[in-house]
Amino acid sequence: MENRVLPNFDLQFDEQPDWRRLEVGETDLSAEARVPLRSLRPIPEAARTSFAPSVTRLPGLRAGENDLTRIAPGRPQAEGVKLLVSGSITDENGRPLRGVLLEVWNANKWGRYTHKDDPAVQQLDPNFLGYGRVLTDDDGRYSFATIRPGSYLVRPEIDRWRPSHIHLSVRGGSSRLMTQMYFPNDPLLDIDPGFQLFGAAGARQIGAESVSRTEGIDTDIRFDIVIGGRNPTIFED
Amino acid sequence: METENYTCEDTVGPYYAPAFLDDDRQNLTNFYDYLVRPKGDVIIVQGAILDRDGNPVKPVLVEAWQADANGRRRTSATLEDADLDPWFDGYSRHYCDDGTFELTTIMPGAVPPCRESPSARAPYITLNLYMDGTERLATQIFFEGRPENESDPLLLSLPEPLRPRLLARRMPDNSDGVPVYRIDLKLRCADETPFFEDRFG
Ligand SMILES: [Fe+3]
Repeated sequence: MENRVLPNFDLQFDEQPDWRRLEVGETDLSAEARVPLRSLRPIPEAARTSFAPSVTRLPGLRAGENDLTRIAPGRPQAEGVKLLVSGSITDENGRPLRGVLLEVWNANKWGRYTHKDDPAVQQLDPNFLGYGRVLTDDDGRYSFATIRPGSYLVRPEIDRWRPSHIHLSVRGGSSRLMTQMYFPNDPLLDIDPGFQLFGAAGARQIGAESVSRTEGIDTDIRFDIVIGGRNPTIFED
Repeated sequence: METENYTCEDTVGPYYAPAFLDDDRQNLTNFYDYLVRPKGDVIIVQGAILDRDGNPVKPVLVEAWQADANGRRRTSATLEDADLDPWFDGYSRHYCDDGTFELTTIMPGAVPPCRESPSARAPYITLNLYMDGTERLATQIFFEGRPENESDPLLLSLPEPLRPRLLARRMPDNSDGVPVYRIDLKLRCADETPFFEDRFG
């Protein structure tokens, strides 16, 4: 894939230097075909509210959906280091966000997802699905159990590995965030193009580990989530 | 930068579960399992998400939200309003594994000036796209030929040549006689779709 330069690219359309342009991480070949070229355009004041999501009915959760270490309650645990990840979800001003849906997915111990499109050849774990959900409580707190995901080779043609990470999606009310939690001291963080784009803010994306005292859990991880920035929260109650 | 402390957006990656969608929310005229239908005219909005080379991006998670037929949008502030259609939640999230999307919905009403929207708005649908390798992309689409488009503040914020890129075009009705609107969302190309910065504050 050559890096094409666009002819007569219509930058003359009044773009301002302080508008944000999304970047392509270095060597991120998957992104360089689709990250927009132009800066994100400002939303006029009169249209702002319309970019905050509608309030929707959130799903009722089944028991055990926040325990990814098992396929279902009472079934055997998957292989690997058992993690208990917990924290709070707040807005930028520290107000807890109650009843928001946290959706979680991660690869298994060997770095493979159960997703049909994952080309990895690593083994599947019959006791690990890798997808779960939890709602925050009245104090905006959540917790879920999972297996520490393995690193995986995401682009074999350029030998690019992803650091261990847990995918997280937060939604409910007007909160909206798609993010990933990473692990401390992972040498692959230094060469992950997406992580490097965070710069100093990458430190916020790393969970804090400690030895767990919870039965059936090896490691506790604290990961607080703050909804802000591009994720409009200004219309919460 | 001032005292930013928020969690960073990251790419959704390719391996989120279709099953993490709690319901099929590609059809907003069917309010979950209830038989009551929302007010308004049923329409289909369809299109493709195309990359630099004109190839469909796959998969894409598409989120859409919109006002009801009266132009009222469901927010925490409007939930108890009498003119909000109780049988329409206006929120869709669906998994597009072939790079195309199709939403069966109600033609959104033009938005009158109200508490939530101090300015009148043309009928629109807000779209968020999530795909591997980029963070969330936000935009709004409008309907070709609507007179309200001429005074919509978001459309007017764009240089005139960019405005048609957000207009869904009327296509022939489908075999059930339902009006079909089509819009392709184009990325990293000369006629790229405009996307908006919803970092406020
Ligand atoms: Fe991943």
